[in-house]
Amino acid sequence: MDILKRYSILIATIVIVLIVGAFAGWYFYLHGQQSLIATISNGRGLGQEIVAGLPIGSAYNNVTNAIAGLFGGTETTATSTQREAPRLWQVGSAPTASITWTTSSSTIEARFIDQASGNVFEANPRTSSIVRRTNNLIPKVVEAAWTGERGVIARFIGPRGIESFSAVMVTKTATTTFGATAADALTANNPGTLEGVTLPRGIISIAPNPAQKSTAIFYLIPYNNGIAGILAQSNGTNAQRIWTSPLTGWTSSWVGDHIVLNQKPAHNTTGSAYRLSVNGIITPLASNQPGLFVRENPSTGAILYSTVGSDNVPKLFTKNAQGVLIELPFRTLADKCVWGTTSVIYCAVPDTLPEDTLPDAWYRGEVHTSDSWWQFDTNTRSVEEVYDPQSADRSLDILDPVINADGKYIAFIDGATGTAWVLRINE
Amino acid sequence: MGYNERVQHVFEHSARFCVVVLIATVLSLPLPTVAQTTEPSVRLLWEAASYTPPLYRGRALPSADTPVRILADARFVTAQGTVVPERSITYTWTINLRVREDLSGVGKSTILLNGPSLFGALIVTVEAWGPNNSFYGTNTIRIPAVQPVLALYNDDPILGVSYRKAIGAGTTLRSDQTTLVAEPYFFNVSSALSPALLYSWYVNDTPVLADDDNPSRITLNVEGGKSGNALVTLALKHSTQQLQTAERSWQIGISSTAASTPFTTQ
Repeated sequence: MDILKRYSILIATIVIVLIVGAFAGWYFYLHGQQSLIATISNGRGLGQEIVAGLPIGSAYNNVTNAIAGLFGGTETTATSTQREAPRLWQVGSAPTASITWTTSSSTIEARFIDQASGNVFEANPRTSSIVRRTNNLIPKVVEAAWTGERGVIARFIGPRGIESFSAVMVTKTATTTFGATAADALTANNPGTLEGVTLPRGIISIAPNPAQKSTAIFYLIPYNNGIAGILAQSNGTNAQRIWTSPLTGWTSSWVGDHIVLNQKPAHNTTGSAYRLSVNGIITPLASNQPGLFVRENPSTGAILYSTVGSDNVPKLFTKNAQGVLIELPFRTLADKCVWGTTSVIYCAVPDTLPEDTLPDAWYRGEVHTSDSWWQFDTNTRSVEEVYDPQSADRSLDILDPVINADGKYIAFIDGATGTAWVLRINE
Repeated sequence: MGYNERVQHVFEHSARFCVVVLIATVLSLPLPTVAQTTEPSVRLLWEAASYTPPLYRGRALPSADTPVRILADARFVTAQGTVVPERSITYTWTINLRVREDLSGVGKSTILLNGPSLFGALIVTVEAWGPNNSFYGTNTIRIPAVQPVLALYNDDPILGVSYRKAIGAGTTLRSDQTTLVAEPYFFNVSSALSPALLYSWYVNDTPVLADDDNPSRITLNVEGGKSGNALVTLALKHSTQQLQTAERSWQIGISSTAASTPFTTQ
């Protein structure tokens, strides 16, 4: 009897252990599969949320997600990859509406917005990691402006004109058992949402204040058969008109403590550019030049400008605060240049100039160039080639270059494909 | 009038005529391409009231007879460093060598003109005087008429209209269905969908119907598994301004993603 009882207990114990083991195994198997599915889904862009108030649907979500997940790097958690990106790094193979640099002083990350989905991503060239920051779907974003530390104004063409959705990347919050809320960190597995407001319809140009903490914006909007320059917060509040013009063809950029207004350029057509203070005082920057487009150095006040006359050859000039004028030995448009952190100018120079009229045909997307990166030092007047993408079998038509805070990287968009790239300036 | 007076009279008229011809010739020459370092005291800024797509980075240029708005920015600074206000400056406008009293006067810094005629140009001179003729400045610009430009873009259902990359020679589109959008740069309309614009589309020289609601676009369907080239032609004219016309053709390769005679239209 004792033996029978002992065997019964032993068999019962074994059965219980087997059952518990089977459940444990099943649990760990399912958990692993869920993690794998979550990782793959995040990589493919699945699980996105619909932004409230925008004319979008979930069917669209399924389509755009398949596109949005096409990246040159690895979309991953920030800790999983620590390999430095190649010197010329294609951060996305899907078209990008805009790219900039984050204002954080501790990390170097290019922030960009996917054209198809409006999802925001960050790419770290030191680790090759690409992290999704937002999940909201904003389809067909044509351009974007970046505000403050976490703001973005996504612009798209709606049925009644240009729409501007000004939003802030918001972290998700979790409620603890004690009722308190705790903000989660933004990670690849935990992207935030874009929450914001719609700015007035028809904004022609938006210039955010580039100061790290600032959320001020300046925008141009049709007004009385002309245009008005509005100073406001990125959420649309505190809007005040500081400038008007009977002409509508202007672009704006915020440089230091003021705004630079460029009359839209055209081939062999005189243009003008102005400085506009936030108090509404306007002073000429450059004028009477054919095809004029100006970029100002935010730290020195020097200007870089290009002209295109009847010979269709773009010429570049710099003029410092003392009025000293230098012609640069590059044949390119100022649109393809960016000021470095000091006296250096980086320019993407076409290997051959197109025969079509510049800059008009380029603005219309009818011609594309194959550019090399060059630098010019305005102090020493020295010229040096920085990088030729053709050395990596790439042909790039550089558009909207932006340099990072310490001047080591340039992010830009390839005009021919719309894809985002990052160049490490020094080898 | 004696012989000598008649000779003098003829010489005076001839000299005046030569001066006018010389000025007109100089102004019709292309703009100088050498950068100028001095800033004029009067800047002339202008743009046409012609159509360009939203967010186009370039200037709206005038096709024939398209209105042009011109702004004179006179900047006179007193010895005390204050800027003379625009409302106290007197402007005299001269258009194609004719003084326009109707446009000129105190504070009249902005004018709206009928645009240049076909192949012609507006030669605009402004003279600006400060209060009591204390300041004077002048500037002259030449505004030529341009031909309207037709550009064609792919309207992707996911990405939208690809304004960064127009369709050109040798463009190949991979899709079973492709929507193409034409943009009528520099026509005298405020919208590409203006009823004043008459669109005529052709595919391989066969007229095709555009979308009634949006005649600036057509959709090409590729029959299953086929690929090939199509010659897409657009003829566009303005219903009331007969000189505003444009026609352009694009050789486009389209292949089905499913991979026969391609190209039917919706």
